[in-house]
Amino acid sequence: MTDLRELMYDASSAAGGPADLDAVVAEGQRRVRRRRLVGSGIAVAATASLVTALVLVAPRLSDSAPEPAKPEPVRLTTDDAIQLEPRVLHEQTVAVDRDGSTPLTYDGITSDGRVVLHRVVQSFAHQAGLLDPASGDITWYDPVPTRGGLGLGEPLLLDRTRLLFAQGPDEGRFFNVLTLDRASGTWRVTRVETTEADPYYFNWSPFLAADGRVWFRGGPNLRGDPAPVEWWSASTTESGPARLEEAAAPGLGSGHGRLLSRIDPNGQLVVRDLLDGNEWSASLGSGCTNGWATTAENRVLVSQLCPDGAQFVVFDAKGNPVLLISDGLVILDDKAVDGSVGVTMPARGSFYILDLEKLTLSEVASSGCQGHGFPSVAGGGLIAWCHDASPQVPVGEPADEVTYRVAELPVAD
Amino acid sequence: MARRDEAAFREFAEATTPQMRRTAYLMCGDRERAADIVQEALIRVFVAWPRIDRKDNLRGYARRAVVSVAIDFSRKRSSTERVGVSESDEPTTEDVAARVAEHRALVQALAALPPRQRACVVLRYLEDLAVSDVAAALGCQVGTVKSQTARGLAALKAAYGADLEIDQQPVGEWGAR
Repeated sequence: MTDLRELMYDASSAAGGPADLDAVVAEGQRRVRRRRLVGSGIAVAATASLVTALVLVAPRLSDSAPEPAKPEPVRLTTDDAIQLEPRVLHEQTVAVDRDGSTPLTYDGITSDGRVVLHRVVQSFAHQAGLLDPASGDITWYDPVPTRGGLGLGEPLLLDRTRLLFAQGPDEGRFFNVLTLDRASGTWRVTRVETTEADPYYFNWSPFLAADGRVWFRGGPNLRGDPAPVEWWSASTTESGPARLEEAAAPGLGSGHGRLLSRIDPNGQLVVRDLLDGNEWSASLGSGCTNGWATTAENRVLVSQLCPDGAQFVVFDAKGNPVLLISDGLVILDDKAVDGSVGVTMPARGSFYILDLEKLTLSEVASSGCQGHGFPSVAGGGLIAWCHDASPQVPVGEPADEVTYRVAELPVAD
Repeated sequence: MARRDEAAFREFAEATTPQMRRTAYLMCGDRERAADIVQEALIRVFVAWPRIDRKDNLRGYARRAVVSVAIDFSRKRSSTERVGVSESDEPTTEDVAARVAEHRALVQALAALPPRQRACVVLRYLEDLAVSDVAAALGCQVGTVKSQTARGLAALKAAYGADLEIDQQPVGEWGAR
């Protein structure tokens, strides 16, 4: 008799030698760079001075309504940034593990000015807490009632009554929406089932849409290539199957609140308003590549690399370009901050707040942690960021310890 | 990835590649393709490295990546391709010839299984994983693993012959051999 297990072991014993790790690392680094480029909305820094005329073709509304008058977009550079001096409310230094992780992670700020953070406790469970930056007190809640490896998830909504996170994938085709009731401190888990068992199918990017459902991204090619993309949605309160909202839309994209945006393979920005169903599109600059669009409040933000350098464009909800920043690399740190977005411009080593209504740029903090992978978060009139990494650790290396700061944002005039 | 992280990744990859190769080989039945599968799986592990829970999930993630890539590859593979042991496995003596023939029969019988059935059998009997761990690796229910494994084993036995002995309770850890 031949034992199956021994036979399998013997049969596979000559399966080959070591992997080509140099090739693995090189390709892995290339994909990480591409993912950062796409996922964070990076446009590569311009090497020459630029004041480039942005070629923007007038947006086409999907219905036949007459086009509104097109305003001239505001043009800004980082030299136009208003210098703000935020008042530091809280400072905390934490050690950094060998893998670059910290025992405390800042996840966001609630609408009433509490910093949402989490830590890992026994059995790898994640425990969320709320930091009151005025007193330094942290209120810790019960550990997240899902298995530890899933972490806390992506924040969907952080307000004065509840915290919502999207967590997953879990067992391949499941996702969880976690809701923490701040008053009672209790968690509710809403389990979302998809039809896809492949953990690489969903590239996630969840957001809470205007219809009250969580929307997220998937697609058969998200394992490697960036297109096409599907949009799925699910209830945040009732467990059940996810709903396929849009199948195989070409291009990459993201959403927030009421707007869904993507750039198709022809360089067209396509935006759909989830509230009224209207869709508009706009041609972006000729020859521009690596375009990436996201939405914040009622604005659509596009970053792309054009022949004359990097461009960052803000459109209003009707497709009018209202703001152009064209002097370098822009990273969106936060989806929305009370009508603004947080942006980092690594070339300047600073964190900025871009006011989407007033169309102003404010420089609020320099970061000694630039390049160490600690994103800034903002909201509720506060900003929290990694202020310093010790001591003189080269960019790209994990620091031994880092200092977080929480500060009050000055109210801009 | 920071240099210290990259060093840790390389250390992990070197330690786990042999077992990943074994799994990939039994999933695809071809040594060169197994090398490609492991290469792609390691790239995915590299990309996800900062996000993987170090304490209990690295090996599980790598295993899941191997199976996922192998299933992807099997979907893309031309139906005209044949699975078999490679030239270097050719026998030099009668004993070796018999063993190689057994290996060839196993690999061909595995290749005839649907990819997910094959994955269940390989993870259960090569990796010695518990049913729940196979379910986690494949992202499916425990019941699905049980039924897929049973079907796979039945098909394997039918293809391989009555001489195949199957222990129904394999449990162990990756790399425990």
